[in-house]
Amino acid sequence: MLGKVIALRMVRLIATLFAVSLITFLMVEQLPGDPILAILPPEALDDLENIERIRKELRLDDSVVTRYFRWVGDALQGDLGKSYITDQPVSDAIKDRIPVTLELAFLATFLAALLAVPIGAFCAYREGSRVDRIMSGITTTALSIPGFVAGIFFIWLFTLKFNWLPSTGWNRISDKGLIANLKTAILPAASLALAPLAINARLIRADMIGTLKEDYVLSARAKGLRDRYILMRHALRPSSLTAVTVFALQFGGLIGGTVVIETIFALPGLGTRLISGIYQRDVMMIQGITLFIASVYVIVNAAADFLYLALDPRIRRR
Amino acid sequence: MKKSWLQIIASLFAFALIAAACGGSDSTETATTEAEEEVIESGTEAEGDVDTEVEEVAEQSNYGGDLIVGLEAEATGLRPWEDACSSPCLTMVVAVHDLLVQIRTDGTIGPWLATSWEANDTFTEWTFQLEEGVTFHNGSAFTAQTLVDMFELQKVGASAAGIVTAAGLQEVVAVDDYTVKYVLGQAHSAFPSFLVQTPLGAVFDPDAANADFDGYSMNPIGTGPFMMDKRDLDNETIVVRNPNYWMSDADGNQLPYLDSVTFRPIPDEGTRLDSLLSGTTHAMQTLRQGTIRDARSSKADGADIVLLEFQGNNVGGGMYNLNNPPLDDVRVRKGLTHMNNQEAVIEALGGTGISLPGSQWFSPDSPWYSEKVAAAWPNFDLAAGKALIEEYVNDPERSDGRAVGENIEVELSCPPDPTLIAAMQVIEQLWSSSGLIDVNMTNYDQQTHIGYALGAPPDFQGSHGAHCWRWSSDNDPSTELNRQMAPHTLDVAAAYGLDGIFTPTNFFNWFDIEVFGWLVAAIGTANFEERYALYEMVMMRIARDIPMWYSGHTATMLAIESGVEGINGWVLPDGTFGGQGWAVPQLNQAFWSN
Repeated sequence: MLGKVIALRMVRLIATLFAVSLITFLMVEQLPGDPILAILPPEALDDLENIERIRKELRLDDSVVTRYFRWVGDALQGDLGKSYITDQPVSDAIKDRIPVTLELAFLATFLAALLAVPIGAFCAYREGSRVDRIMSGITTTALSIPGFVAGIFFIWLFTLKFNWLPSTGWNRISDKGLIANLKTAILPAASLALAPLAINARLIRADMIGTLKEDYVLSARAKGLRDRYILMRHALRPSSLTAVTVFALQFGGLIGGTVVIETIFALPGLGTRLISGIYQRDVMMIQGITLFIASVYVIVNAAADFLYLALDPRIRRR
Repeated sequence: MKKSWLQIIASLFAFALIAAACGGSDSTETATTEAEEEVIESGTEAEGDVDTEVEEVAEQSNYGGDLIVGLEAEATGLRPWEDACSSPCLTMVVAVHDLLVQIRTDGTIGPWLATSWEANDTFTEWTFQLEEGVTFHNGSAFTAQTLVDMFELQKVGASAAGIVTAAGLQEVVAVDDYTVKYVLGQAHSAFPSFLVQTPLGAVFDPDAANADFDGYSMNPIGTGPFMMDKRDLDNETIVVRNPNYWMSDADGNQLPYLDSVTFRPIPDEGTRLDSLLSGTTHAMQTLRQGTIRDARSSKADGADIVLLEFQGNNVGGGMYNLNNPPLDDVRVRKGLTHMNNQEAVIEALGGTGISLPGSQWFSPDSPWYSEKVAAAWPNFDLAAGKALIEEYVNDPERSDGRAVGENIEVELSCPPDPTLIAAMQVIEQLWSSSGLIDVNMTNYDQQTHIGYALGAPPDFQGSHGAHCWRWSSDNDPSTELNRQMAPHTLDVAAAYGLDGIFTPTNFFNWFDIEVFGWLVAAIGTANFEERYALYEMVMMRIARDIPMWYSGHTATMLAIESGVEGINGWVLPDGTFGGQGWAVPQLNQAFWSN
């Protein structure tokens, strides 16, 4: 039974990835302008022979169908092509940058979870209290602030005002160690964490309010168990199912969501490379990174599905 | 550094992108009258110079230290012959590579790796003497043969091939170890100007380039003051002192002074400035008037920074495409330009007090600037503009095929930068206020904007209308004008007996055989007065037939932490001051004074 469910989900996953690749390719294909114009500076366009030479070299003369299948075929073997602008292999560009983006996404998710769980649980426990109302106002405000606005505010506060942290740049762990790395990662991660933190705090609160009214919780209270024990043991675990799914979905979203934050903080992640690719009309780079981000999103969602299957036996039986 | 809330809110909207674009236009034969303004003698210095004065370095130089420079963007690549480079990229390229020649502050060309040069009588052969004893970062020697070998890559290089064509360069010959001859297919009296451009003039190790064509970008080998140490794309590029650098200062101290330079791409303008103000970086460059204004404001509030400002010949504004009626009619073009309230547009761009108003391709402190042209250019005169448009609208022979009395329709396009959009809105309101013009505003990203004006190969007939653009540079006028005023199609070329002479960068889609003749004549003589007169005639014709709507000259700024010296006042080997503005700072003579 479980095997069949997993097989079905896998088929769905492969079909989604295929659709993602096709849509990505076609969208980039629809961008106006000849890629040659992005490769060559205007003053180099006087030389028509040179244009034709480069066009042939890059096989831009082939039909759209040929180019798509060649790209997908190569992508399946891990080759996402070479940047038209910099000649760098796209897979190398992703490989170089994914640690930064992943670290940011993980750190943001960790920060969000670290704060959202206790805030949500406490507000649920003290439902309707002044603290609950204040936290509700704070989370609503946090939700309404875009990450980049928070980023600019953090730069103003922690860099210009207090001079505690650098405003830009990225210290790699391999070069400068964990502490130096965290100094450059904390502000962008905090900017990214704001929205998931607010969403999850509210989600956990709502879920736990329901859970705390369940008979078994009342029964636990009647037995005289301590509040903290009831909250952590009896209420949080069932309420965490929704939160796990949402965190997983948000993590996929954060991979794409780092685009603006990476630009603001000048971080060498996937987002910065994607933005540069868009502005340089670097077709292969845009296609490759978009496909990668979309694939991560789809795979993370699928993983969340599988986790759900593992956590909730009722789903397996459906 | 204090920053008001208003500034913070404003900075939220300041992370749009890249450089303003710019324009060119089209034209046809016309019969408008030239303005009869007072003609002032050529070369007269205009008022309103806002540049930072170039001054001799007074502080005692010191060795050591790192300089962290915030750049607008990551370099596209560091292969001079191959990668299309803008100012952030060029800043890195010239830290690692030396040029053969450099531009002085007065616009003339001075020595660098080439110590002297001369042309034959017909300007078809240029012979350069080279600095002896120069070595590349990998220890190999720089000789005349290096330039011969470089040419093999340059003539097919994505970036250099067009310049090779424009220069008419056919062959590079090593006369002896330190003498090289550039052979041209046509006369060009300003040929060294092409060697100021990195695709042709930056000296790289051809063996290293051939050994690893793609990898060269990550590990460039030049003769420059700094050697590549670490290239972490989109994060930081670190170059370290070249211990064998050939150049010394006036006291005989070997250059460079700095131990290393770290380049950090910081695309967001506000963050780049904040990084400087907080000490995360030591210097930053910008081409944005809004950022210059903010930096000035920060300095006024007490920030310990030095602002080096410069505006060269680059001028912004917009152009008309003559392929698109009604823009094929000079009355419309001139009318629209008359309706450009230059002062209001500059204000919308945030450039009041920063950018000088433009009236031609050359800025008022350029040796090529002409008061006569400034007077001839259609200044803001709403009534005159409306009258010209009205004349066209009521002309039964109007070229756009519309009925007499019907409004004309004009597409006005700029890249989606907030300040450019604000400027567009000013122009749109002025044009629409005439009641004769339906303005269709469009915004495309920079690359699409350029592509829209270029059109597609092989014809390159852009489909733009009224299009934001920028023109010119500090280099010799021939490097841009001769190219942009060449025939815009092969058919047009053939019609004038100029078979095969064609350029896709004639964005105006306008050709005037007389102008073409003047431009050819201007590269057939080295006499400045003759050349000046010819370029003035070209600019007069442009003002008459394809008058662009100019906004202001492009301001560039390098903001540096106090204590960094030697960037303003860097000198060539002959002791003269180097130029090119602050968009591409020279760091080989920079040092920390404390």
